[in-house]
Amino acid sequence: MSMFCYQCQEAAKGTGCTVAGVCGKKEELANMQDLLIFVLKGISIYATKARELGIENEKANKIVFDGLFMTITNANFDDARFVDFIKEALKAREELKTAYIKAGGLEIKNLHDSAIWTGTSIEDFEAKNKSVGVLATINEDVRSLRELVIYGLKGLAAYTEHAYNLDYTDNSLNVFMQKALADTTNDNLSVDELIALVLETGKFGVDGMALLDKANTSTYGNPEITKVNIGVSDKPGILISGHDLRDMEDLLIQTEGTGVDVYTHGEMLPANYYPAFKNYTHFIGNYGNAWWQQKEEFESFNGPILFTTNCIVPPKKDAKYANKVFTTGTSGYPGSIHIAGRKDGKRKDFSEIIELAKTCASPIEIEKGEIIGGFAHNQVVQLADKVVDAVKTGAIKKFFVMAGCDGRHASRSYYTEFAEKLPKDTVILTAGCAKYRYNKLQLGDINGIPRVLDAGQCNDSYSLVVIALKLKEIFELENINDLPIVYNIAWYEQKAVIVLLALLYLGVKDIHLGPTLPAFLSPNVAKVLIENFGIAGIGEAEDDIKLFME
Amino acid sequence: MKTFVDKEACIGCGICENICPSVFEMREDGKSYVKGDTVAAENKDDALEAECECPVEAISHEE
Repeated sequence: MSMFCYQCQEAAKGTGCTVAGVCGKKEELANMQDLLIFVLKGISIYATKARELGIENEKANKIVFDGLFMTITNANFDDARFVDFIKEALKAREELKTAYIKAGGLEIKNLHDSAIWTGTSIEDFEAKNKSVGVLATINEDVRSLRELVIYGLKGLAAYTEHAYNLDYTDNSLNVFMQKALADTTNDNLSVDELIALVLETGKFGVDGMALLDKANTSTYGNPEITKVNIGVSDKPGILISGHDLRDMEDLLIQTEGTGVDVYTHGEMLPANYYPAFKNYTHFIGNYGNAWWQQKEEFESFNGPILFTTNCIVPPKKDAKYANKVFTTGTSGYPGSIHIAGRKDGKRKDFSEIIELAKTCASPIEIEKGEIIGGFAHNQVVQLADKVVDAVKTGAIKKFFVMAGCDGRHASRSYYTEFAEKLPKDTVILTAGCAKYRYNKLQLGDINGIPRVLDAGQCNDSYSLVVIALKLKEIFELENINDLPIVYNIAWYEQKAVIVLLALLYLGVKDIHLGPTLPAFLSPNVAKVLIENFGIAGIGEAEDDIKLFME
Repeated sequence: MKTFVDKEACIGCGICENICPSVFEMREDGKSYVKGDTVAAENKDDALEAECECPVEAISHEE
């Protein structure tokens, strides 16, 4: 075994990748990512102690959330970036240690190796990185709970970073991420204490999603009902993928008047819903589907691709688009040009992508028509009377939250079949790229309310929570589980994990999770989730529908 | 269409079987095997998808 990772839904054999990642990451990269997480734990131990003495280090805070984000599935495949980042992280840890001691901090008893080990070269890092990964925790249940927390923190880190890019911060998120990372090194925590930490991670997940919602909507307006074009224009284009709306804004501003059009891809589709972006006539619409179809869709697009976050799928060796891939933020791919971060409040410089786009052919049209979306909380609350009326008259019998991520497994056709076979008096509430399994089906509407209500990106699952809580208030219900809402969620990576933990924290029960349960849930931990929260997997679409409609 | 798995390159991740279980089967040696002689017409798209998604490009095909 040369690596071990089981953080995503496609983990090999449903247990873990041990030779190379199904995602495409090689063992060297997997091990370097493990070392980064290890060093972030060390930073967190010192940061948490230093904080007790009133010391706050913004640089270290950013390193922690950026570092966590970089290790999200399909975010960053660039080994060299990880090596450099680990060096930065070690420097930051030493700065915190120095500040802590200077402020009178006492020697930390039983200091964890992550706060002690150091190195300067790739060779030093390679000598260490195979022994600090997931399997370093021997007890299977402790390991499972620690990893559940860490993957939740990765999702929270991503949301924190996007909010930060819009100049919105909530330091309690940094405080928690670091406290929790430090806690994963504490061998004295009981299983019950770790379970409490998992729920606490969910609490901060809610806070993180709330912050990002505030950041996005305060900056770009509240998403509104929008018909999104899925066809193409006759000009060359740039395809922007991932989640970062600040990058979207910079790109739209710089491409205006250049003769190059802009298209969104994957999780960037919801950018079409924001009022601030609707003034750009060269913003054509959305191209393609969820992340895993990118190898074909990026070829037919013809123009350059800008990744602002995951999910990057390593291009095939003979891919024509391979030399047109750009990354920015925490994303990265070896050989792809990486657009640097913002300095002194200036915009990112996308001129190189624009110049390349001008030399490319216009996109090949792969489909025609429109997708409807924009049903974030503000829009839905405006329709509240209509929705409440439909529920009271029985026109809407049940809501199905089908938010989450899409992936490659053929078994995910379940979600298409499920959506198609749902009774006509039901409405699907969605967010995240799981929507691509059913957002182009013509499922009709109920009294003018579309049967698929897309709130936006995975972080916009927050909107679904706000909507549920609003309905609970209107119907004067005691418990969120008394609502006619069923949760049938698809997951793939770690942002889905924080969304799940957020829902568990809010008391949502009986969530069905698919297409498979996480490999990182040990049998005992899975049992805890099943017995205490009613977590379940998926069966056959028709059987599940019968079960849910009872 | 005929499809092939390069056993040397195959890392046994199982994604091909998960994308196209009618054509690819993970066996006890930890490698992927192609079931049958040719790929049935109704499985062609999924088999090509699996080829595309193989993280080590171990799958190839012949029309």
